[in-house]
Amino acid sequence: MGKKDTSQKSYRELQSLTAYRRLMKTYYLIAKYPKWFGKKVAWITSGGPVEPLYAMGVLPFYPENYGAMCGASRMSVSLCEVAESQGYSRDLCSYARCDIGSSLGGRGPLGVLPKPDFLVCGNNICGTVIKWYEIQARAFQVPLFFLDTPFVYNELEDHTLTYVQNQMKEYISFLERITKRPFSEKRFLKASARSLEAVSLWKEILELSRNRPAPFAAFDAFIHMAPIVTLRGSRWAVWYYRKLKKELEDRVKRGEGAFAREEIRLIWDNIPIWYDIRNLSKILFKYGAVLVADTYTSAWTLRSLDLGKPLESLSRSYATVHLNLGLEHKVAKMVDLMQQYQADGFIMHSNRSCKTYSLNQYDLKKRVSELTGKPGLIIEADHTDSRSYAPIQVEKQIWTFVELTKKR
Amino acid sequence: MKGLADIWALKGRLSFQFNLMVPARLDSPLARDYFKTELEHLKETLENKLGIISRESLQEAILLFNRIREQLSNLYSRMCLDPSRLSGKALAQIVRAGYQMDREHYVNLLTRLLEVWPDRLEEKPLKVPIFLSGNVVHSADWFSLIEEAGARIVHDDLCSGGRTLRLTVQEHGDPLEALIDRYFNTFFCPTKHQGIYAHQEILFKEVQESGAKGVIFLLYKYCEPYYFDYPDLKRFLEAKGYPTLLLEIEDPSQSREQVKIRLQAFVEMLT
Repeated sequence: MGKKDTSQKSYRELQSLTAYRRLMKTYYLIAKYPKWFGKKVAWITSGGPVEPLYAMGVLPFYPENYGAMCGASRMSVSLCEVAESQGYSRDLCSYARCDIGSSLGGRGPLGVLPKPDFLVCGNNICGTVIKWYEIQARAFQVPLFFLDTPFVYNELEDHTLTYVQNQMKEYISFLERITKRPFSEKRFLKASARSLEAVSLWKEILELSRNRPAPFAAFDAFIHMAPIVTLRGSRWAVWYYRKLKKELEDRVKRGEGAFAREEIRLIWDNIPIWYDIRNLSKILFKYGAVLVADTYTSAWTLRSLDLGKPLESLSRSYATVHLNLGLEHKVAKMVDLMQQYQADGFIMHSNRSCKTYSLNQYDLKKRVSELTGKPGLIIEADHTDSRSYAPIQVEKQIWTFVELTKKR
Repeated sequence: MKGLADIWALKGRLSFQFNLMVPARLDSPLARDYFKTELEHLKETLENKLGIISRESLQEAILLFNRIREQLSNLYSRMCLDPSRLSGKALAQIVRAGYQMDREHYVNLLTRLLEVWPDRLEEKPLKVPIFLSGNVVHSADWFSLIEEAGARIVHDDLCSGGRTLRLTVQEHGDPLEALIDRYFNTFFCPTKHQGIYAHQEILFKEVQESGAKGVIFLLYKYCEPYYFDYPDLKRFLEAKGYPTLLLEIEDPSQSREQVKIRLQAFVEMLT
């Protein structure tokens, strides 16, 4: 039984996928039956500080990641409809509608989810999560901790950092009350070190696609990002990303790309269209285009953690994630990605569900094109709710855009 | 709003812009300390542009705005007693004028209006009393529509209406501290977190005090925080015996007549 020969196919599947699936299956098994493993479960936002949870032996579960799963498994529309039947507007974030619908209806890709022991909400990704988590706190009648990270337009000011850091201390006290055990500095340092290593590995993995051809397309990153979101702070994320990185480095040595044909290199902005990843990937490949990087997966390359001052360092990192920074930062990031990855253009997903990510895109597009001389395309969709997506129209837009880009 | 602030800054059309970051958590002393620094920065920035803001001038401004709120509160009370004197549309226009007029002139006009309006009941109002809950209402015509359907608006908690009454500032002590305190002492916006039941509690209290028989949620697209709160608010109020109606609206409205029919049916149900 040898390894799969992927060298001749149009898309080269990663060998690590098998290990990835095993890892995530194990994670979801523990998340579904935490009591079997003696675990308390906290539902936490994707930008929430997970390291203290691991320090306290609590398993984090991510409703947004679950929403992505609902989208990818095409269950999201029916789950959203359950939420809508209870009065939740269709204009609300579809991740939230999926999660609320799943809780109300007792359905979803994992079936009935166990009630969380408590909730942790950080608004560094958006303000929607405040309301979403308030709803779930009322529904489940469980404690809610809210970490407020004020938006950073220009620079992170001292009083803002102090505010976030003081709340992190408050968070630790909250965890001690809930878990009825003292906070372990030693375990916290260990979890922080693992987090640092995992995000460093993830960053290095993404940067490998600066090579031509890109060994790891953005569509691969959308799948393989799950451990950095759900298992950041655990040894499993470190283990998996070491393995994945090795495979990708081997691809670079052999000059193998994720796709056999790479005529146009593009950057993606915004959350993926979870229910159409495979199809979009095929469409782009058909026209010789490859997404080599994106702003979403690279959001989990947190700035360097100083293990000498982990609390301050984590506070700084969580307060300055991509979505909590002003437009000039977003422009700089996109321009940097375009340059570092030698991109020929970019595609922006104007995401109906994510106003935070999408509001400034028209200005962002104009500025990035001005600064890089490269064209951009905006397509309209929703990250989880396929009712807000017109795939034929989007394909036509992509075809036109790619052809124009090739001619430049 | 934070995204809009970025766009304004990018366009560079405003000669001066300060982004005041009100904390999203208003249930913590940590947030208070943070907000105090933000307000101090705002004061300093304004002083660099416009001159010193003395404690006395701040105190005077607080007194003026409190007086405006007091007079508006009196106006709402008179509307409850005798709705025939002023339509809901006119009240909405009066409240909106307060955002644009010279404030001294505005409070004088309010005072004069109240002086000619007796504060006793002339005759029992016939229309069904309802409480209007929602966000910013751009067009005062919606109030006319509600009244044409047979209802009278006895109170509201609209951002562009009665919600300002929750923001009265303490008049003694340090004025800057008083300005900070008022954000923490009352629930004023669903974008802020003050406990998971804060919105329900204050809305129920105001509905009870208003004497309303039912609640109309008048929600402009797209105030996400309010739309998130709406289902639990509805269930809570209905469990307390207050029928509710949701009107999702936008301007210009394409479905005015449909809304009117729904309003008429709701009012009939309450009669």
